[in-house]
Amino acid sequence: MTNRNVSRETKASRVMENKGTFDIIIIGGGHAGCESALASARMGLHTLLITMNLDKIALMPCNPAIGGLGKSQLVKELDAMGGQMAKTADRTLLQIKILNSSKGPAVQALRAQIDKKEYEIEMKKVLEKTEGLQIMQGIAKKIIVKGKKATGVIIESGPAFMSRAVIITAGTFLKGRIIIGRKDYRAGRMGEYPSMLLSENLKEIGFEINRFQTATPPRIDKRTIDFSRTRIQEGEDKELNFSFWNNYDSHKNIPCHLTYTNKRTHEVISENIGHSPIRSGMVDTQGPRHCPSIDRKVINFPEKARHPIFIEPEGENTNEMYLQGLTTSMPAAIQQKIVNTVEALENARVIRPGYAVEYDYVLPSQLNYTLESKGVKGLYFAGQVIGTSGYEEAAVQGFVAGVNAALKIYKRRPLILTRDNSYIGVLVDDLITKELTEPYRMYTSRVEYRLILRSDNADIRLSGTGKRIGLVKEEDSKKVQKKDSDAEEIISELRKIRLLPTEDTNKKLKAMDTATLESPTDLYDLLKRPETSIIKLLEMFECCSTFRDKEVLRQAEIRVKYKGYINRQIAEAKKLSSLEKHIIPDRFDYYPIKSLTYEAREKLSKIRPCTVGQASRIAGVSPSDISVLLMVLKHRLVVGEKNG
Amino acid sequence: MNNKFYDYDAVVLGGGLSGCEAATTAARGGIRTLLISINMDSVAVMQFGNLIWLDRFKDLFRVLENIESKTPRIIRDNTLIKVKAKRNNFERLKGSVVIDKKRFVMDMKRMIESHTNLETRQGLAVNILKKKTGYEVETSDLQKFKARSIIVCAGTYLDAKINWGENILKAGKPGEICSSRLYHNLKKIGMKFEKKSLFSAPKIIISSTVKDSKRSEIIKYCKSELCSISSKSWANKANNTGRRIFLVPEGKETEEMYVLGFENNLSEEEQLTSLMEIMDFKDSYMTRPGYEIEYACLAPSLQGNDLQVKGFAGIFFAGRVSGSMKYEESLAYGALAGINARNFIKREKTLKLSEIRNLLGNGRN
Repeated sequence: MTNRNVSRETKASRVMENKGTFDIIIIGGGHAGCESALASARMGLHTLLITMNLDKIALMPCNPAIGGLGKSQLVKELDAMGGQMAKTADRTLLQIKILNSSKGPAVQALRAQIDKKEYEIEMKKVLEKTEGLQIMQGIAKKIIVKGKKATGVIIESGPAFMSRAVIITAGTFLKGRIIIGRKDYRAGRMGEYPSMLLSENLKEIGFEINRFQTATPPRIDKRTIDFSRTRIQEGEDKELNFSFWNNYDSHKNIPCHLTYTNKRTHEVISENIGHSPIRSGMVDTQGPRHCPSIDRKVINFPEKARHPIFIEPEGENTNEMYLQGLTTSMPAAIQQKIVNTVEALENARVIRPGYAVEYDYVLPSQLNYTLESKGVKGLYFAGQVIGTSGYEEAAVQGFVAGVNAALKIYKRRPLILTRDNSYIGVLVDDLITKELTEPYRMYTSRVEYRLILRSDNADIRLSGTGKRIGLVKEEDSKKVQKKDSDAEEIISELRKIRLLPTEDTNKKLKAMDTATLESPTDLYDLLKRPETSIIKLLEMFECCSTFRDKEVLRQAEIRVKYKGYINRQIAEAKKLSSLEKHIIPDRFDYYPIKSLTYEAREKLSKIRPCTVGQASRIAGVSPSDISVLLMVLKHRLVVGEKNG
Repeated sequence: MNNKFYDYDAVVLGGGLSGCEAATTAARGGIRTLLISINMDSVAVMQFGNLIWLDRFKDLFRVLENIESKTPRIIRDNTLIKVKAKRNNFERLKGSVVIDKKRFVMDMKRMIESHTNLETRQGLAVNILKKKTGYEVETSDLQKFKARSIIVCAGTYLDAKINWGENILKAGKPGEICSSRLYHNLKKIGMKFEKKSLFSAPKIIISSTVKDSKRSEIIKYCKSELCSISSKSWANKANNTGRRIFLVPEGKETEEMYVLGFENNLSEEEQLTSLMEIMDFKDSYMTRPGYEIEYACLAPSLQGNDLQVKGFAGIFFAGRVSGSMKYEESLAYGALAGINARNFIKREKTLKLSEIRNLLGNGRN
C-alpha cells in the first residue's frame, strides 16, 4: 500500500513536471486573454490559459458590439499584425455599418453588432484548435516570483504551473463587487465568483492597486417592445469586413432600433436619485466618463430634453435586448419604472437588471511599453485589470503583452508601437504615462496624427510588423506591399495624364459637377478638387484600366486629396520622434536636478519615463522642464564621454 | 408601478432542466409563469455529462410530447451521436444520445424566452414569504414577486459546496455562486433538508499538436462512435478496475470531451496521474478537473406524493433539489411540478408522483 502511494506520488510529480511547465501562462479568458494566448501560441510557445469558467470564454458582458469611433482603428491595427478579434467579429456579426461616412477618412469607423453567444463559441473553438495552446479551468491565487522574476502561477485548487512569463488579464474579477441600488455582492460578473486572493498577492509583491467602477444597462424582453414606434437602424446593405485577410461573406443586416428618453423618464430618475449608488454612497469610485449612467446624464445635463436609447439585439437566438444609453444601477424596481417611461418601452419587461461593478486595477504606470511590469520581470498585464474599458482596448493590449512576452523569450527585439505609427501606440503610451482618473477608452481625439493613422491604411502601416513577429504570412504581407506600391503607381500615372481644355473634356467635367478647364491640367490636380472622385475620373477619361482594385484606388485617392495635411502630420511626427530619441537611463535620479520643478521631479520619479518624448507627455511636466531635462542629459552624455 | 411585472401565478426558481420543464409546462397550462435564474447565460446547462437516454425513457419522452413539451424535440435536434450497442463496449450506454451542450443550452433558452405565458428574470432568489393570498419570492436585488404557487428547481445550488482534493469552493457550479440565503430562510420557515452529493468527471482535450495518425483515429472514432478506446492499454486498464470509461464529445464546435465513467473528487494532480494510467495522456490535457458537489435537497419526509412540500400548500420541489439523480428524472419531475402547480392554482386535483415513477421505472431496467 505504502509502495503504491509512493509510486503514485512520484508519478504525480512526474505528471506535473511534464504537464505543469509552460513558456507563457495567461490568467483570464476574456478579450485580452484570448489575444495574448493566441499570439503566444502562434509564435510557437507552449502556452496555458487559465480561466475561472471555460463556458465564459470571450464573453461580452456589456455592449453586443465591436468597433466604433477610435475602437475600429484598434481592431484593424490588431488584424493587420495578425490578431484574432476582427476575424471572429466578421464571422459572428449581426449587422455592420460605417460611422461618419460623410466625414473624412481619418474619422470614419466600422461598428458591428455581434451575436454574443456565437462570438464566444467561435473564439473558444479557435483557442482549442490552436497548436501549443492549452486552456484550463482554475482560479489563480498566486504568482510565483523568484528574484524579481515571475516564474509561475499557483491556482486555488492546489497545483502550481511553472512558466517563463505570466500575463494577467483578469478583467473586473479582482475583488469584484456588484452593486444594484443599495445592495452589493462579491462577484466578478453577475452570478460569477470574483477572484479575492490574486489581488492581495499582487499587493504583497508590491504593486500599487486602486479601484474603478463600470456599469451595464438592463436587458429587456424583445416580445414586450413596441417596435412600430421606434426608428429602425439598419446596417450597410453591402458586405463589409473588419479583417484585411479572410473575408467572410455571409452578410447579415439585423436592425437595431432607436428611441428616446423623455421628461417623464428624467422625472422618475430625479425623484429616485437618492437610490442611485452614485448618490447614496454605495459607489464612490470613478467610472467611465465617456459612458455615463442615465442617472449621471440627468444630473449633469438638466437642460437636455431627451437622450437617445438604442435597442440592440444580444443575438439571433435570444429575446434579450440591450438598451444602449440606459446604463443604471438603481434598484431593480426603479430600473423597471425608468424603462417603462421610454416611448415604445411602456410595456417592456426587464429580464436582467443593470448593475455596476467595482474592481481592483493595477496602476498601469508600473508597466513599460511592452506592458511588462517594471518591478517584476516576466510579469505582464493587459485589459481592464490595468484600468481600461472596452473589448477592443483589452484585445490590443492582450496582443501587445502576448507578443512581447514571446519575443522576450526568444531574445528578440520587443514590439514597441509608437504614437506616430498606431492607435495602439497611443493607447499604450497614454496608459503608462498619464495618470488615470477614469477607465481609459480610446478616442480619435487622443491621437495626434490621425490623418496618417487611418483605418484604411492599418495594413500598410503594420502588416510588416506582423510579418516580423511571425503572425502575418509572407504572402499576405507582400500583397499589402503591392497595394501600397500600386497606389503610388496610380498617383504617378495621374500626374502624367494631362488634359487639354477641349470641349470634350469640359463636357465631361461638367457632368461631374466640377469647374471646367482653362489651361492644361493633369488628372492629379483634378483629383485634388473635393467634389471629384478617382473612380469617376478614371472612368470618364478611360485610363489606368489595369488598376481596378477598389482598395488601391481609395488609397491613391486619399493620398492625393489629403496630401497637404498628411505631409504636415508626417513632419510633426518627425519632430516628436526626435524627442523620442533621447533615452533616459534606467535609474536616472531626478531629485538632484534643482532646476526642475518639484512636481516634475516627483512625477518623473514615479512614472520613470523611458524617453524625453514620454516625459513630455506626463501631466505636471512643463516644456521648460523638458528643456532642462534635455540639457542635463546632454551634459551627462558629454561628461560620460570625457570620463569614459 | 406596473404590477404585472411582479405578480405571477407561478414562479419557478432555477433555470436548469427541471426548472425549464416546470416553467414551460405550467405556462402551457394557461397560467402566468416567471422563471428566475441566477445567471441567464447558464440556463439548461448539463453539469454531469451530456448523455440522455432517449430510448430507455421513451415512455417518458412520449408523455412529454403528449403534453406538448418541446424538450424532446430540442434533444433530438441537438443530438451529436446516437449510441448503438453494436459492440459490447457500449452496453452501458445503450439507447442513449449525446447532446451538443452549447447548442442545447441556446435552443432551450430560446424556447423558454419565447414561450407564451412565460417570462424570465435574472436574479438570485433569497427568500420565500407567506402572504394572505399566496407567497412572495424575494430576490437579492430586493425585488419581490407575488406568486400563488412556487416551484423550487434549485438543482445543486442550495447551500452547495464543491470539492476536489483539498480544495473546497462554495459554488453551485465551478465559477458560479451558490444559493445559501434561500437555504437558510427555507429552513427558518420550517423546511428540512438533507445533504446529497454527486460526482462530476474531468474534461479533456486531445491536444491538436498531435498530428499523427493516432489522433485522427481517435477523433474519427469519437465522431462516429462516441468512444475513443483506441489504445489497447487503456482498454485493459479500464477493464482491470472494472469500469469502462468513455470519452464523450461535448459538442460539434468544441474539442472538449467529458471523461464519462471517471467521476471523482481526487486532487488535480491525482486526476492527471490516473488519466495517465488509463490512457496515453501525452496526447491530451485536462481542461477541467472532476469534482464532488455536495448540496441540500428536501428531506423525503417533507416531500408530498405530488411533489408539494408537506405543510406548504402551493410550494413544489422538483429536480435534483428534490432528490432526483438523472436528467430524465429532472425533466419528469419538472413537468409534474408544472402540471401540479397549474392544477393547484386552478383548484384541480394534483397528479401523483407514482404515475411518473412508473414511466421512470421502465427506464431503470
